[in-house]
Amino acid sequence: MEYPIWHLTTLGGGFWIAFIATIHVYVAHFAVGGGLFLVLTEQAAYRSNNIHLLEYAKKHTRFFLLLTMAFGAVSGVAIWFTVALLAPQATITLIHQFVFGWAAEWVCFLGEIVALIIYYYTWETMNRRDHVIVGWLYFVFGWFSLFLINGIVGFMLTPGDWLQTKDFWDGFFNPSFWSSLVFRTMFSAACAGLFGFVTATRIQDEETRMTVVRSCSAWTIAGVLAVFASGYWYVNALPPGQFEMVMFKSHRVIGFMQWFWVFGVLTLLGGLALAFRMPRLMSFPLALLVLLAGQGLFGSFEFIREAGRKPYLIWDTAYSNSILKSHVPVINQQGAIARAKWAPPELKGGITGANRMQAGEFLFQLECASCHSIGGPMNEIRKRTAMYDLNGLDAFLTGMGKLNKYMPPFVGSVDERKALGVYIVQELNGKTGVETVVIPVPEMVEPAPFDPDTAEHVLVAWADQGMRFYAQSDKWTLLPPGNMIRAQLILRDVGPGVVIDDAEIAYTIEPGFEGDKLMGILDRHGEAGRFEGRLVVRPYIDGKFNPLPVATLEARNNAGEMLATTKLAVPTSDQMGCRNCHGGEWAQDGSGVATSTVENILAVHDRMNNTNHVERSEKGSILCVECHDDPAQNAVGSGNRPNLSAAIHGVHAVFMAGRDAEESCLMCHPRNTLRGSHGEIDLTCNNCHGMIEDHAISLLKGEKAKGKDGVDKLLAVIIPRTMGTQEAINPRTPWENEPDCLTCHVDFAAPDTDNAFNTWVEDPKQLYSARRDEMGAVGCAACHGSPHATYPVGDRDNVQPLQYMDTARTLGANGACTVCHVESMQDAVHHPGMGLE
Amino acid sequence: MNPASLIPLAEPLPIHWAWFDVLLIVTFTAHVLFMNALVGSAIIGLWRAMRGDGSVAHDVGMKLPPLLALTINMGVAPLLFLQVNYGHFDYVSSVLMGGWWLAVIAALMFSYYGFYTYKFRYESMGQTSRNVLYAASLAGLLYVGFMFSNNMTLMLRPDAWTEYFTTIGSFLNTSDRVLYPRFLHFMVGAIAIGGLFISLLGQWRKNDEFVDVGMVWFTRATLINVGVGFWFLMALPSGMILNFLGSNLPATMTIIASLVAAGMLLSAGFRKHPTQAVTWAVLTVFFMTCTRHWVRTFYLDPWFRIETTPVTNQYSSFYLFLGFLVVGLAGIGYMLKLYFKSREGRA
Repeated sequence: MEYPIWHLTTLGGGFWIAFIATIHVYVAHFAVGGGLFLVLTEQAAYRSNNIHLLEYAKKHTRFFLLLTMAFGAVSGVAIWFTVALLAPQATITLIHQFVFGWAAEWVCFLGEIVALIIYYYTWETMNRRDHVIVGWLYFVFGWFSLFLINGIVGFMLTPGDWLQTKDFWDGFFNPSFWSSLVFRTMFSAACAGLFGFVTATRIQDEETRMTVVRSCSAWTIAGVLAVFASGYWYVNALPPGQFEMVMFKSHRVIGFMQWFWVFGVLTLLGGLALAFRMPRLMSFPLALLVLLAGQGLFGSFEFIREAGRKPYLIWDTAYSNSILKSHVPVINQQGAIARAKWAPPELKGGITGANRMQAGEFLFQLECASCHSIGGPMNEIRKRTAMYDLNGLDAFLTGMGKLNKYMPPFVGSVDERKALGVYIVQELNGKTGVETVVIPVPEMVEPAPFDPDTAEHVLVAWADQGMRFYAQSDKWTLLPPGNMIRAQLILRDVGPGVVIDDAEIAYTIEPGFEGDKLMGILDRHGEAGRFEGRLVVRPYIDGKFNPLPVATLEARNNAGEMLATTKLAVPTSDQMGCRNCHGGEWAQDGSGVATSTVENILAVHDRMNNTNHVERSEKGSILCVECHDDPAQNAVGSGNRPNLSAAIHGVHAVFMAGRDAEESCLMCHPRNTLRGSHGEIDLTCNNCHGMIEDHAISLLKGEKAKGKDGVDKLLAVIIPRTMGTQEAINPRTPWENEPDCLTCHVDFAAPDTDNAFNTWVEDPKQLYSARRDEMGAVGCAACHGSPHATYPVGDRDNVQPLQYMDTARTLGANGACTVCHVESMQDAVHHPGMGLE
Repeated sequence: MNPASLIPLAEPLPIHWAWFDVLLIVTFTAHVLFMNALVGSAIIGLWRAMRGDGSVAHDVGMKLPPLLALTINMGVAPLLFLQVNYGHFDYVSSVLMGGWWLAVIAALMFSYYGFYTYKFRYESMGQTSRNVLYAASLAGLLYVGFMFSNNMTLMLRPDAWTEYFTTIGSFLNTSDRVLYPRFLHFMVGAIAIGGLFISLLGQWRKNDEFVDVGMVWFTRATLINVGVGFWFLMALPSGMILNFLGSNLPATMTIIASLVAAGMLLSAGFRKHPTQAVTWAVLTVFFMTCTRHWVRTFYLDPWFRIETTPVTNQYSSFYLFLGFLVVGLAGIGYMLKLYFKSREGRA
């Protein structure tokens, strides 16, 4: 925020620091361990009076000098230059905290140089005792420089009490100081052996060569084994946050950890192999290979350490993009561009249509480029965001850093976040168009015949869900398809009656649809006063997407004589918007979750929850309800995990925060979920279910009350939208405690409010699709239509009112009692109102 | 745009700012002396080698790698202390220079290994190859020096920083007329001290030709550098010139001390007293470093005053450094003693 940005694209994303640092640290550790190796070799040569060994020590000194004093020193300065260029803010914070740590290291560095120059130039002139003393002094200076830099590097990962005290010593002797010091010391010893091989394998005298090479093997093997042992200590000395990041949270770490072990074993094996007698022609190339393996070992360790520190450069203080954590609230309030001193002046007036792309580019450089390159080798941004459209990327940016702590949060205003999204999606990924969801308008269906003058029965039916959504692929089942048809047969009379025992109701889905039990007999539910039956119908007729299959129902008496017939839209859809954020194409004709989308979902689940679903899905389909209980599927789950609805809404609310229904609920659920009268008057999901955050909180609180695991973590990052506090939101169980129509329609009257959120029916029997009128006779949905599709709806949904009333209205509305009653009625006995009062 | 709005916030200092300025000046003096010996003797060696006399280039060439090692080391400390007090200016100029600045590392690495190759492969190379390698390595160092001059001047000019918004990519401070005499002042000074280094080498090795050659370069370069220094002074903003001409007494006294020391230096040079000249050269470089510090202070005055930076008074870490410094210097002194003991009786 304070400094200009060195604009990098291909070689951005920390390329320079990764490139320079991984090589530098290898040589720098050699500079320490190699010094000890050198002076011990010299002493061994004197003791054994081995002229060849002494000659080797001299030659190795030159190699050591050329590598450590020249490359080591300059690349060390290079790291300093690079971090100052890439992360000036964090670097200057470090400089001010640890200037004297560095200054002391500089003294050691000077001592090393003087010692090494004298050591190298006086092999022939200095007496042995003095020369050995200089050699030892070199090592002492070298080790103390490691001691000092270890404190500073360790501080960045585990600042410990410094976070509170800001005291130099608290930061320096931080929680990982000693374990890291031992680890690095041991690694230095291994480096001595690894680099020693390079010169040792070239010794002419065979006996001496074997002696030195075996000595190098011992240094390498003992060093690497000690690295493993002290590495265990190191990792376990990490505070919980960093430990979790290294061991569980960071997917990147897992990859580096694998490389760490692979290279570790290769280094060991290589070190062991070199101990065997072999011609120089073989041993020297092998020595170079083992040296490379050692580079891999240490490089992977450095990457683990860096990854364990994410999303910070200095833990809990400066984010990876150098933005100070303590500044975030102010930046969010005032805007990143307003707070960034080096933002282009033309952006200071605010983001407009004309400068949005420029603002996005600047924000990318400000907040992303420190870790992400554009078309380069480091964390390439295009590849990682290719799946997103504007909406998806914006959701990702909204939730970034909240659940997956590997990345810092986006910092800035909503407009800025959107501008960044535009830049990445449109400028970098070239996705200019927005793909809209296509919902086909199905053909109108001819209503079943009904003659009010002669008909003795009325058959009414509804679906228990106004849009049964499902999500399933060969690798995964979130929710399987499956609809329920409910029906009531009413004997028409002055005082009509509900017929249960003396009739049978059969249904048939219109031909061409796929599914199971596409025709059958509904079960009697005498106590509930209705018939109902489950079937599976998929929204494809002859392969074409159609979310409104129509069932024909026929009621017959026990003699098989037709009593009544009707038609009913059985809404079903797998037009789930998972691909908006998880990538992939539609599975079939503009609908359905494709396998590639599911693979991403599973990978994200693995990354966030340390599961192995991707691997398991290769062997068989993953059922979400194996772990997560779900009342909709009568599934009990396993472990103590939150139910499916709470888990999904809890996670997605983090990413969808701040959005309305159109851009949150309907980014996932089928966009034609809410049809009918409520949709007509522009009510949205939010009116009844609440804003996405509030909705998620109600579900999570329900699970919290049951003591489920992982709920607090989600609740901690979801801020209530309309209720002020989480405490004010009432807990609920999905599918059982749903919004109550009577919250708005008090006493069945026209509502004074349009907010039904936060009052839940207590019992599934009170759900709209199961509830009956005040007489306990007719189901609410029998007259008003299926949930989310209350009359009047669209053509197919209206097929019943059109059959019985020739108009698309609630059955019996405005005194049209003669649908069931054979004469007009005066009193609203089903519930107050009914157009009669 | 008001350039002041671009200046980053200064971070609190652990101890009183004056300590860092003192440490900066002292360590920079040491750095300049090593750098001068390195670059100056390399230039003189090359000059003579191009004219057919490779003796200086050869003898000096053998010393260049360790000299470069010490120059880099001595450069680390002042850059560190500079960043404490003035990092919020220096980091800005570094970023504005971007790739130009990072390329310093590549140039340094190239020169380092170039000089090492010269040293270790001297016998196996032809004269032309030697000269080319020597010149290329020297060019690397000149690049480094020029970049440092750019950085150290660009950091003083927030009004020039706004070029960041109009230029594509990184840029240098080439629009600053002070840059050229300032760089030249350093480089000609380096030639002078390089000459002195050759003289000392000659004196140590009892090689009169080296002593004479070195002293000639030393005195002539110094005389030229007085002229370059005058150009440098005149190129400064007029208010600043007046500061050095009496308006600011301490600054005026500093530049006078520099000139007096330079006069004494010349006198020792003309009398061919390398040892005396060393004393005056060290003093001259020290006073010139102080003068340079005045220049920085005057440049930054409209934008920033170090006295306003908060101090957290964490002196304990300072004592850690002092402890390392005392013990470290003692260790270095001891090693040097062993070294000189080993050289006894040798030329």
